[in-house]
Amino acid sequence: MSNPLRRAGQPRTHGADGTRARQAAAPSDGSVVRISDMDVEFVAHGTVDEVHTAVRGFSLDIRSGELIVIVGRSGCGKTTILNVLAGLARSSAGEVLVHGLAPDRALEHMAYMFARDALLPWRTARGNIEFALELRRPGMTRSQRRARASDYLDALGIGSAAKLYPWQLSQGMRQRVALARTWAIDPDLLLMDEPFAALDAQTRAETQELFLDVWSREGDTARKTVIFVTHDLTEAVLLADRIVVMNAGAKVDEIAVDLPRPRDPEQVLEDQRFRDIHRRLSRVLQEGGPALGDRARPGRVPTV
Amino acid sequence: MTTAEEQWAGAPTGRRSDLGTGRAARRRAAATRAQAGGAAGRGRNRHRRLSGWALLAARLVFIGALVGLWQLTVVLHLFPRTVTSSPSAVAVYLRHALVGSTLWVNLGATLEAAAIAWVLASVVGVVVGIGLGLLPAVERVVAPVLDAANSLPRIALAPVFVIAFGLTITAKLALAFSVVVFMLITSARAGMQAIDVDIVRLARSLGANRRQLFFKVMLPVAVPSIFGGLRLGVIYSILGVLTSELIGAKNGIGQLLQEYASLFQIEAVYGLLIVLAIVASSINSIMSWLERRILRWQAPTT
Repeated sequence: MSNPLRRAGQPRTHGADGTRARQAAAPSDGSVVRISDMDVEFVAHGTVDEVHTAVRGFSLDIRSGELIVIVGRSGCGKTTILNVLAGLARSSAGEVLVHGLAPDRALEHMAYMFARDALLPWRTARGNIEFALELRRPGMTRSQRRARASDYLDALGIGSAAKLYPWQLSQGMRQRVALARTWAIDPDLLLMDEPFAALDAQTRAETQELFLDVWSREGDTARKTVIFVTHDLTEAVLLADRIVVMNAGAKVDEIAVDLPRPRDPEQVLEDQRFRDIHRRLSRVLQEGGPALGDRARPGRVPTV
Repeated sequence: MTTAEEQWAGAPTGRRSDLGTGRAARRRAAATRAQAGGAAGRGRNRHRRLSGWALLAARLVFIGALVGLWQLTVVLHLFPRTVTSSPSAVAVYLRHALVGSTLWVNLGATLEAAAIAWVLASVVGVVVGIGLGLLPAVERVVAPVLDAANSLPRIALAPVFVIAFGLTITAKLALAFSVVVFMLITSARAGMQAIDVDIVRLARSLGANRRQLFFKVMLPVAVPSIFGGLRLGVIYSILGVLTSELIGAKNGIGQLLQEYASLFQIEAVYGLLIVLAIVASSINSIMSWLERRILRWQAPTT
C-alpha cells in the first residue's frame, strides 16, 4: 500500500501488518489540502430546482501537520467543507485537492470524527477499532488487527474497556474509543466535526488535553494534519495553529494563533494573546449578522 | 509492526501527562476502572431483584392459586356445567391423552405445519423486507399495498384457503404464511431504517464498499428488529395453522379441538389449550434465550 504522495522525511517504519509506508515526495506546493474558490450547492430536499448555496468562494491551503480550526454558527457551511474533503459531498465549482488528488481518491489518507462517537453498538470497544482496520487495512490478519486495536486502547488509557460494549461506556470513554479508532488507522488528514461537543465541560477539557497530547506526541514531522470544526471559541484558540471564521457559507476572517505549544489550558486562558484572539473572534462572529440556518442563500453573504 | 507505543515513543513533548506513565495516565486508568466497575455494579444491582429459585417458587404459587380459584368456581357452581370443567377433570383427561397417541400425532401435525410456514415466511419476509430497505424507490411504490395487507385481518382468509386447497397441509401453510410473512417484511424494513446516519458516514469515509456496508453495518443494525419479528412470527404461525385446522382439516390440534367441542368434552378442550399454552410459551422462552445470546451487545431495556 505504498503511496507516492506521502510526505517526505517521516520516521515511521511499517511492516507486514499492512501499515502503509509514509514515503515519497509531498506535492510540489507542500500543502496537504488545497481548496481554491470552492462553491458547494445542493438541491433542497424534496424539490427539483431550488438550489441552495452552502459554501461559496471558499479558499484554504493547509500545510502538513497544521491544526486548522473552522468556527462559525450552525449552518454556516463548516461541516459541508469537511464532507467535501471526505468525499461525502461534491463541490460545484472551484478546485479541491487532497494530496494533489480529488477527495474521493484520497480517502485512504483521511479519517473523520463526529460529535457523536459513531461506535457500532454491536461491537466491543476493541471490535470497533477492528472494524475500522477491516475496512482500511484489508491486508492485516485477524490477530494483527486485534493486537493493534489493543495497543491503541492501552495508549489512550482505556485498555480495561476493550471487551465492553458502547452502552457500558460513559460518553467520554466512547469518544476516547473513537480517538483510538482514528489513530489506529493512522491517517495523515484528520477531519473532526465538533468531536467534543457532546461531552460535559469536565470531560471535554480532559478529552481536549488527551487529544492535544496524542497529536503532538507524534513530533513535528509525523504530526497529523487536522481540520477541526467547532463553535466553541475557547476550544478554537486552545487547539488551533490557524482559525478560519465562517459565516453564511463564506470565510469572513482568518487568524494565526501564535501561542506556543504545548499549551496548558489553565495557562492559555490567562494569556493576553488568547484574550485578544477570543475577543476578535466574538466580534467577527457578531458582525457577521444573523445565521441563516441550513439554507444559506447567495446574495446574503457579507463581504469581508 | 508499528505499535502505538513505538509510534509515540521518543517524541519529546515535555508534557507531564505522558501516556502510559505519570500521574495523569494513572488517574485516567483509575477513572476507567471506576467507570467500568460502575457499569458492572449497576448490572449486579439489577440481579438483586427476585430471581432464581425464589422467582420460580413465586410463579408456581401464582399458578397454583389460579388453579385453586378455578376449582373453587366449580365447587361453588358459579358457571353452567356445559362450558366449564374442573381442574381435576382436565387432569384426568391429560393423564389419558399423554399416554395415548391421538394428542401427540395431532400436536405433531400442527407443529410441523407451523414450523414449515414459519421458516418459509421468515425467509421470504426477511429477504423482501431487506430488499425493500435497500431499494427505497421500490419501497415507496409498494409501501401502501404492504401496509394495507399488513393491517388486514388475514385470519379471515382461512375459509378461502380451505376451499382452494382442501383438507390438506397446504391450506394450513397458506394461512399461516400469509399471517406471518407481512410481519417479517415489516420488521425487516423497520430494522433497515434504524440505521444511524453517522455510522454510515463513518463507514463510507473508511472506504467501505456496498457489500461491506451491507454485511458489516446495515444487516447487524436490522438484526434486533428482525429477531423481534421472528419471535412474534412463531406464535402467529401456530395461530394461523390452528385457525385453518378449526375451519377444516384432516388432523391437527385445531381439528381435535373442534371434535371435542362438538362432543361437549369440555375438559378435553381445556386440556388441549393447556398443552398449546405450554408448547407456545416454551418456544417463546427458547426464542428469548436465543435473542439474549445473539443480541448480547444490547443495553438491557429494564
